Amino acid sequence: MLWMTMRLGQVKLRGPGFLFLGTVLWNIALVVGIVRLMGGSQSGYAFLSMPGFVYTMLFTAYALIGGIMLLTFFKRQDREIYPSQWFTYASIYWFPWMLTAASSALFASEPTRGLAQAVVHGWYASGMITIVLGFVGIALLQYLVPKLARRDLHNSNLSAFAFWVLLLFGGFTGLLQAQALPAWVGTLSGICNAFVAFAWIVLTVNLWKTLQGTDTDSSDPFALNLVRLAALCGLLGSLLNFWGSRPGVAETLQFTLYLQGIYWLQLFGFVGTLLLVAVYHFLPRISDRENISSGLFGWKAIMVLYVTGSILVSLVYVLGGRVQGTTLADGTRSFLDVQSATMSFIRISTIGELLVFLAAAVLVINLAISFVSYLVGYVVCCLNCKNESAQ
Amino acid sequence: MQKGYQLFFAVLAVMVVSWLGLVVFPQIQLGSQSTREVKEIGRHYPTEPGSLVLNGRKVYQQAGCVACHTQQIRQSGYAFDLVLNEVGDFPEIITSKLIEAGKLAGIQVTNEKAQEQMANLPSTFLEARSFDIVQDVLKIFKDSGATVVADILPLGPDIERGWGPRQTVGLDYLYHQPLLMGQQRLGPDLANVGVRLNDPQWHLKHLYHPRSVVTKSSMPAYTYLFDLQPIGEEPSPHALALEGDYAPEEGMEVVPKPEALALVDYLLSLKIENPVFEAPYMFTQAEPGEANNAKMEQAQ
Amino acid sequence: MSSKPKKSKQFKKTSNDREPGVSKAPISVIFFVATVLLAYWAMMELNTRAGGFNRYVYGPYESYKVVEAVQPGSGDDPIKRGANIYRNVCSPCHQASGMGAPGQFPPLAGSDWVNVEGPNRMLRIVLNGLNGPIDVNGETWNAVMPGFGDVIASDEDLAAVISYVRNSWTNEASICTPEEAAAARADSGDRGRAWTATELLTLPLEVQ
Repeated sequence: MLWMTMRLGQVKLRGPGFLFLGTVLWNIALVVGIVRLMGGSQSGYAFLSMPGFVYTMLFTAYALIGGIMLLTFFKRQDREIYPSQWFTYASIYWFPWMLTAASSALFASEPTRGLAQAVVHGWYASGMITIVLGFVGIALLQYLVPKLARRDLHNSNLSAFAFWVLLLFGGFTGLLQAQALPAWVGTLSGICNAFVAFAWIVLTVNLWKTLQGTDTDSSDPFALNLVRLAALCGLLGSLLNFWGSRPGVAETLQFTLYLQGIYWLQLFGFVGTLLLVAVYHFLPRISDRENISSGLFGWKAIMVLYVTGSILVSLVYVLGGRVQGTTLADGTRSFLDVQSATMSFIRISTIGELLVFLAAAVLVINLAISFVSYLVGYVVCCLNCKNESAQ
Repeated sequence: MQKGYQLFFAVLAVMVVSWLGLVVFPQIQLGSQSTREVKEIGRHYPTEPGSLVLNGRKVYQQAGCVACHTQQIRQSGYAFDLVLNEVGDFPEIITSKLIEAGKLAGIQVTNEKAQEQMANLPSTFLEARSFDIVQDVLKIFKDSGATVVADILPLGPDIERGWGPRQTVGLDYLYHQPLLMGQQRLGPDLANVGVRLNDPQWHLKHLYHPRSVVTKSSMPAYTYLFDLQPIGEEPSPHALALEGDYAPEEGMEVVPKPEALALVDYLLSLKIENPVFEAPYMFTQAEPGEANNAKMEQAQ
Repeated sequence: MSSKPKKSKQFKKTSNDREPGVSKAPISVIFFVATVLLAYWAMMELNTRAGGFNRYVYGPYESYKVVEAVQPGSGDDPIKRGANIYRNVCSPCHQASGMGAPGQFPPLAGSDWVNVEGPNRMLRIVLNGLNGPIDVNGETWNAVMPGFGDVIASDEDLAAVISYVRNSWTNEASICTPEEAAAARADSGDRGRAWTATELLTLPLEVQ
């Protein structure tokens, strides 16, 4: 995102020190949070399950990072704001506001009572997926597709429409999953799902029109294909979310793996893949290397493993969720039947998760090798220098 | 939208709208609920949980039970049983009205059947009918001298499976802090488990090793909530009575830690035992000791 | 938009890809039609399935009215039960119209003995009966009414018929609860004989 800000605004990064500090603090906060989670201090809310104090640290770190991004943005030379930047900045603004609102509602000394917690939590969770993380992904989509295809974005008004619709309605998707809420919550959520799906369709059509006839023209077809795949994952995620909220269907698909499948599609298949592609695209431009395939298997391998794994897991979960749901909906069958029906799907999905794990492992190995080779190179260089100076 | 600050204010405006609609409005509607007098049980519902239950809830939260278990019962529909309570003064009229009601509901009622129904009061002469048919039948019997009531039946797979008598509503979660409603059913629903499975020994054995009580369970064993210790002079009062493969070796016993006992207390406190305005059902005073053990097998 | 970024020095062959721009290609009509249809669909959904944004409307119940209507016992409300008892016990004398018979039985519809704040005096009359003259709406009636405390043995039934009378025809008074009926019955338990109007007028309106 920072990259896009700088490139699109034609401006140099301000305050890199703070950025570094912010990143370090963010990572520390995450590690602390995860350690505490493993020790059992979870809060019981999905996406908000770290104990409360971690959020203060995360908030500070985010303030640093986001502040730097905003500063860079404000100092831009090219004053025209490209659609990606709308999405980027909406995401930056939205996250701390939403986090504050949700934490104060759920973790304060007098938290809201009863079911209102479920609504606030649902608002936060769907805001995280659709707006904060989703917008990062969409910003990347709208940047990478035209860039890699060497064309202009088809129509910025369609992007604007999608932006406003997603911002307005994206905060309330997916709440049908908690049925013990008054009827209006579920219906409103279903409507928001429909609007979000529509905005996604508009976005995808926009990108598709941008891409028409570019097969021979792209600067990096591999990356472009991965970006296309990621876009499809995002679109599919929002369509499945809409489908899962339809009144006849929702009763069957609630509380099953279906929701997990949609999360995997949206978070891993869409945002995750795009982040990897972004690193793949940007890193060579920062470092001196031609490409970053200097490690054991290369970044391409990582991306392929990751995407395959994510899509496998999400599709298996979606199908498994359907089977689990239909068995759950049959009140005459005991729960053990439901469980055995689900288990086989979970087993298959483990393969997908293994692939994602492999991708992460390869990444770590790559980084280790790069680091070691860098160290070795440095040491060799020092030795050479010493030799030279000794001579 | 070409200026940075325009973008900022526009996003802020949308954020405020979103927050008002989806945080403040639900807080006004749901967060401000308070306990209510329920006439069927003659007291306020729900009651505030005791400290042992609160400790148990913390254990539930930390053990991550919410990842696989929900605490909400759904209801997918409702129907009515029509019950004749009193015939009144004009039985001849009632016979013809019973036949008419049957025709409305699409079933053939003979004279003998109607007489039989009128003889064995209270008799359910129509079962599981929709609201519209019930309204029409009640109109038929209006001013006829007979007392006909419509008993409501909540419908849905959760209720059929014996997980609870009605759906859960906002009032039930008033004292649930934090709310552990859950989103996944990799294990059965727990909203009413205190009524359905009310034996603490069963719960303790299930937590120690789920497959000792439910042979095909895929729940992980929470052995860290228990101590495996040598038997002293006498077995501890809380020691688990395990048999077969799961029993400890000779001279050892499995004793639950305070966390396990608190967790079981919490689970046994999860009950949906009375109707509320939002989710009515025909309430009958439960016989003491009649724990729905028959449903236990089915509910697993 | 310039194609050469100003900031750095080390870009090699990957640096001549330019930053993406925007164009304003025409938007197809389908988009607008789809938006309108979607908005219409959303309105319909909110109308039919949102339960009027009411906090008491959950799940399968369509609206607050439905939730009210399906409450158990709403088909068995005391006024209906009271109507049955009235028809069986009281209407032979006081008539189904509540107007009574001139010279014989006083009316209950619009009666100033019925439309008072509390049902105490009515309860006593029904339990033990009434003897002697009584002024109803300015007219004097002189008849004997037997007590029905044994006939209407349950407190629910007693409360129901009192509530029915107090809420039927032109009467608009409060209902009588079974507790009030029980208290009145207990209080006048061993009285045995009918009341007179003067005695009744010394009794309070509300049940103690």
